Amino acid sequence: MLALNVFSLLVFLALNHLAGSVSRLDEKTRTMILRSLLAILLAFNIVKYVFPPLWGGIWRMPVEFSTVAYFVVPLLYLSGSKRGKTWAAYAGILAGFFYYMTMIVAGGRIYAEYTPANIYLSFFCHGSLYFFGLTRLKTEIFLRDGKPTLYVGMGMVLLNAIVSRPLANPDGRLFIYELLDGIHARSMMSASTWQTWSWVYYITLILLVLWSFRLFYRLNVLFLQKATQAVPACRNVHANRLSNA
Amino acid sequence: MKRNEFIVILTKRLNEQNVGDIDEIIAEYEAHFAYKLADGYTEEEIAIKLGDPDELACQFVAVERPKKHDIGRGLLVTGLVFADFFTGLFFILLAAWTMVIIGFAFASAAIGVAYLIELNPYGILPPMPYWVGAVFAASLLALAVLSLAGSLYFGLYVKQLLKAYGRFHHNRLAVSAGKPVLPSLRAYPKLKPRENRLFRKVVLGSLTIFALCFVLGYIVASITAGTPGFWHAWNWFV
Repeated sequence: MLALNVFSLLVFLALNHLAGSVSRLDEKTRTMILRSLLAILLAFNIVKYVFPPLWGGIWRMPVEFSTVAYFVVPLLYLSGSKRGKTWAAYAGILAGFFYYMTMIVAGGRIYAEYTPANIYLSFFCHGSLYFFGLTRLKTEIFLRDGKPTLYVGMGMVLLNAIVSRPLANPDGRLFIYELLDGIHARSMMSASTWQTWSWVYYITLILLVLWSFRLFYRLNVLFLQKATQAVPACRNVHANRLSNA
Repeated sequence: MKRNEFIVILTKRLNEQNVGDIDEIIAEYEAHFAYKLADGYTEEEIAIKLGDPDELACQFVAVERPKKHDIGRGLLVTGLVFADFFTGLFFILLAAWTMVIIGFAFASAAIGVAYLIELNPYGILPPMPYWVGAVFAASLLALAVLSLAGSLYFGLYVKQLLKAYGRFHHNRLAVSAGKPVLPSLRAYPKLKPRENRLFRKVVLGSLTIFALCFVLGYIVASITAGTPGFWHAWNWFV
């Protein structure tokens, strides 16, 4: 199933290219595109998660980081929340990036049994989040005073996962619980070793989250520097052409 | 010398010298007179400043009038009709080729879509695992865009070539009649700068996607099938 990994890589490359193109558009058009995309994402996930219980289906509480982002990111952006804009961009880019990285590295192995339709829908949902996050990161200045929003946002996601554990889908494989329980780390050591050293695992996890916050701001600066350097260069070329004409 | 007198002499001398675009030259001098009159100069002053119209006319290069050829008009027309027959066939061939490329573009798109939605009408498409087909589908869809862009440009090229041939036709007849000929037309189409940029972007983009997806498709198909000749492993030709 290597082909699925390669296909994911192609979609990921296309998303990066598309985000670059959209970030060069004027603000009005860009906002319209992002709003429309997130409205579709929100509507789709409402239909997917909220309506089935009304028709007698099983209620599945969204607990995964990306599943929560399907609702929170569009709601924050569409409501025009200034406090939540940092979290919306961060959550979008994190959820989308890690999904596509997983797909590129191990998509064929993990998602081999999924139907193409399910995988395409998943591509769309995570792709929309990643596209949104990347476009915002390339066009909006995120100041450090928005950092508390990131702590609060991450805390809320963890709290939701812990509190909603009994309501979460018991049949499915939920990555957030694997991460919180340290399933993969446990499998590499004995039970007694885990009891002694589990704190190292959790400290590493916290440090990685904090590092991702720093990386988010660093990337924002890098993207904006690149954008501001590119514009005058284009203008100079244009000006030279006019003066030569 | 008054303006009218100046213009009349200049026109006469330009005509005698067989200069092309006389109307444009005269219009330019008329505009100059109007401009300077508005500044408060008199017609005489302007005419003096401009100089002798005879000398001015000498500065313009004469257009070479085509000499009337000796061959008979009937013979020329016969030759042209004969040439038109073969050229017409050539143009039909070019137009047919454009249609072939358009057909190829639609076929590529249809196969790409068929692989994506797992549709295999009458079992004509070679079987392969879904995601390998999806990578090839991306390649085929890019090829469809590339072919469509190519057919569009080729269509414009044929149209321009037809126009250029029409002009050649007209000029040959004009030469035989001793009439002035029109400038030749270029053989290739000229797009507006914006259209040109868009066209180039679409062609380069679709070519890159096609090449990338095709190569990746081949690699993943070979790895999935466990042999570089994956078509044998999947019994395409059985």
